[in-house]
Amino acid sequence: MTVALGLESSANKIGVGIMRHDAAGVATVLANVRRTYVTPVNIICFFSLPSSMLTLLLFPSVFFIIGDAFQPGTGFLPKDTAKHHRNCVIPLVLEALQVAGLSVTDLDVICFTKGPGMGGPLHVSALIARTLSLLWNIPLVGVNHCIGHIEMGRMITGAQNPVVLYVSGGNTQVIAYAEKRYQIFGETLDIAIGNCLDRFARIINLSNDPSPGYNIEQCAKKGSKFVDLPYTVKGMDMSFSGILSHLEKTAKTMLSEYSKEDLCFSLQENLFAMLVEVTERAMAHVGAREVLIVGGVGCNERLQEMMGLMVQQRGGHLFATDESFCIDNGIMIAQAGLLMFKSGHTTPLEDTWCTQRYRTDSVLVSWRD
Amino acid sequence: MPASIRIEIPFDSQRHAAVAASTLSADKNPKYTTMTFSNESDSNVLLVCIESRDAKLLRTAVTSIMESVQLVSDAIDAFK
Repeated sequence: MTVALGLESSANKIGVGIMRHDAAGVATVLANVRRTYVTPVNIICFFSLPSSMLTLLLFPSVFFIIGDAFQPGTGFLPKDTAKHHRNCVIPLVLEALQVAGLSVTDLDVICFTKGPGMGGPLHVSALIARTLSLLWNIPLVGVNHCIGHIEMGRMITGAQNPVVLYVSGGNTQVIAYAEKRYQIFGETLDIAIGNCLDRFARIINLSNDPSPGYNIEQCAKKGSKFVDLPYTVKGMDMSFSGILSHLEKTAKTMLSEYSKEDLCFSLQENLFAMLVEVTERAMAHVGAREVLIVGGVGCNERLQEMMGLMVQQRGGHLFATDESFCIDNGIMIAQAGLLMFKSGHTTPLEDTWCTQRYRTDSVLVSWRD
Repeated sequence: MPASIRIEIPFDSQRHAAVAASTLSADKNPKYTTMTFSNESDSNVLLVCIESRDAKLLRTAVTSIMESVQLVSDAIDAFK
């Protein structure tokens, strides 16, 4: 029996998980706790004076309020996010241990996200992991965040050898396993799909709470009119920054003809169709019958529905997880770390630095055939 | 390098100071800055030495490292 602690803090979520593998390799989630940093809402009134004195004279009522008096939050910044994580991490680890009914000495390995992600936030998990490791002489494993998502998805759904669509605020990749590597078959050429969605939410003043993507999804359910948007699949890859620029330029004019709900609906249909196309191409390429969706955007039920239709037409099966495993979490790091540990891999202290860039295919997947 | 600082932080024990020193040493240095962590002559004092290209970079490094030292210290207290 082996027990692992997993620490994950690559973006605005900080998660701690405890996973146990028994002698037969059966996995049990002992704890999975998480906190999310949601940027605070600003209450802003814009007052603007027209620039020319002439206008000032002609129009006495020069004060007007621009935009909403109630602005949604901004994107999360590294320093504030890291501060949030520093404040949460110790109580979160204690909570995880309490939920699992264990103490630190019961842990066989401590796993943490080595990358990819945001430097400051990532660092918080690394510091705690190293401290625990040194205090109690427990080995460390630095885990690739993307591989954490994949391994948790595989474990929870039982998918054997799926094409994996990893879609989140920070990553968009189509992955298939071959010859001991999680090969990247296609990916975003610029920003992640979740990033595009999050920034679009800000353009139309949707709240960040609980997450911008969730609010877009709920809003889209009430939309009906479809507006044409740029569709940017490039072979096996995708591009999202052009779509975002287009929205930044035209959203205000579009809102005179279409509702926010219509825009949300149109954007989702457009973006998700792109994902379905690239995933189908990968399936055809490797002859896969299974698709696994992981990452925060994978929570979206419309995406699951659209992907499901395509997979069904190909006589295959779609696997997706619920939000406790889709959204960044600590248990996925514990799971991937445990697989690495059991195949003989540990990370020496001098290699436990974190990195913002860490390619999925750079890890040797020694625990699979 | 022109700007440097030496900070001594006492811990409860020699062992805790050594844990803090090892934990902090594992990170790569920020740009134009070198940081070293040790506990001198096996004492209970963590010694942080930072050298930077200029005072502004040094100040940034100090702020960031003190946040890390605080976190490590709190973690040692919580999990010792």
